[in-house]
Amino acid sequence: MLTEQQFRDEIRGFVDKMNENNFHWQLKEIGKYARETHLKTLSDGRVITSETHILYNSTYQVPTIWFNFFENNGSPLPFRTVIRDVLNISETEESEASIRSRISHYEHPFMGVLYYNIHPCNTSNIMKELNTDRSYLMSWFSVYGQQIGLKLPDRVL
Amino acid sequence: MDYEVCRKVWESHVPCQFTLQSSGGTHGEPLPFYTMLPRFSYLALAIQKVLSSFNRRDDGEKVHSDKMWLEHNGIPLKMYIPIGVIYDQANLSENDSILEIIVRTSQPPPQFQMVDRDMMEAMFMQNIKEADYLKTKAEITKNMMKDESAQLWRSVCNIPDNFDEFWTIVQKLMETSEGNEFAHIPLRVYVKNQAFKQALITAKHPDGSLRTIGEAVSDVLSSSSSSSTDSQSEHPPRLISHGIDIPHHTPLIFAAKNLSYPDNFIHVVLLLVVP
Repeated sequence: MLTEQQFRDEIRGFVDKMNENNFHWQLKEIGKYARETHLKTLSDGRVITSETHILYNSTYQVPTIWFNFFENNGSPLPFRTVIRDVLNISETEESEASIRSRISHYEHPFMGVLYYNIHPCNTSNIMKELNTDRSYLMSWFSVYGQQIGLKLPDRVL
Repeated sequence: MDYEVCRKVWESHVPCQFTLQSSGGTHGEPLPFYTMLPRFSYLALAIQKVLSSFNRRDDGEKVHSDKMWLEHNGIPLKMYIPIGVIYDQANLSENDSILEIIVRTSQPPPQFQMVDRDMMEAMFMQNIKEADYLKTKAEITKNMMKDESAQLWRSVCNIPDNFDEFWTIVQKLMETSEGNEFAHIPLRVYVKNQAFKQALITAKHPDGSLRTIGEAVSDVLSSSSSSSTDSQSEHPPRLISHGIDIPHHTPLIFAAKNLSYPDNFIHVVLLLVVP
């Protein structure tokens, strides 16, 4: 479990640490969440924009990943494209219904529009298995960031 | 829980008019589609019937659900919030006015997103889980059968039928083991043109007295640090839910048990009073 104040303290450190390693994160809404955006080329050559936010969830008292991918005309990618072509989860690996039970659209608490989020309901249990002595948020991101293709820099591990 | 109160809110409908406005159509537009929609349902569930009505005509281009967007009074609509909330936000209850929705086929604005049935079901289930986590640390949903969740969703898709099916499951969600009280109350407050507000709210004050819904709404707004304009208002805002003004002194726990939507959240629309 992470208090909101601990989250605020750690997210600042997280952003600094990532930027020291040439990732481009920024604090938003006076430090209430962190944002990262970059261009990504799909296997079919299409270039899309990736948008990722890390917010605190007050119900579950854990960090939460919110993300979306956009065509160059600004349209968000549909669910099937996101899971099959961007996140590269094959049909044999996991069905659409199973993915929806852990990743789905939800209203972004600050933006008021639909973003994908990784459901936070199991985060607390997963975090109990991890060593969070150095940084709860870094440990959390090492698990949840990689679910959407984001990594910690090697030097942080 | 009060069976009659729950049944009445379940059966509540609002009048809606859907009007198609194509861009560049050379043919006449189809007649508007009029319907009564359940307050507890979602535009995501209603839209296919609307488009089928428009597409019944032989001439004119077909309207596809992935190439349209919905607007009321110039504002894109959120297909994933309950229809009753949309109606309350529009402040139409006093005169039982019709909710006028324009179906546009132009390029959707960035903040609009089409919501299909699968997306809606996933969001609904996430709400159910979160509401139960707030109340019981997920004790009830954890022990629920998979078919019970599916049954709850099915009953929402078939309003006004299936009330008794809904009632059976929702009673389970409204109980706690050994008479324990809810840890927190699932409450969402809707302020104009903003994402809904939510915070950790208990049913009682530390001294054991019951928290009122007026106090709970104030607590939610202050914890999300809304602008001071709201709190400086002379008159207490109106709290609208299910089309009625909820008295500020209503115990929050009563509202949670009797006035929650099927996703188990109290959805309250805040309307500022202009003197």
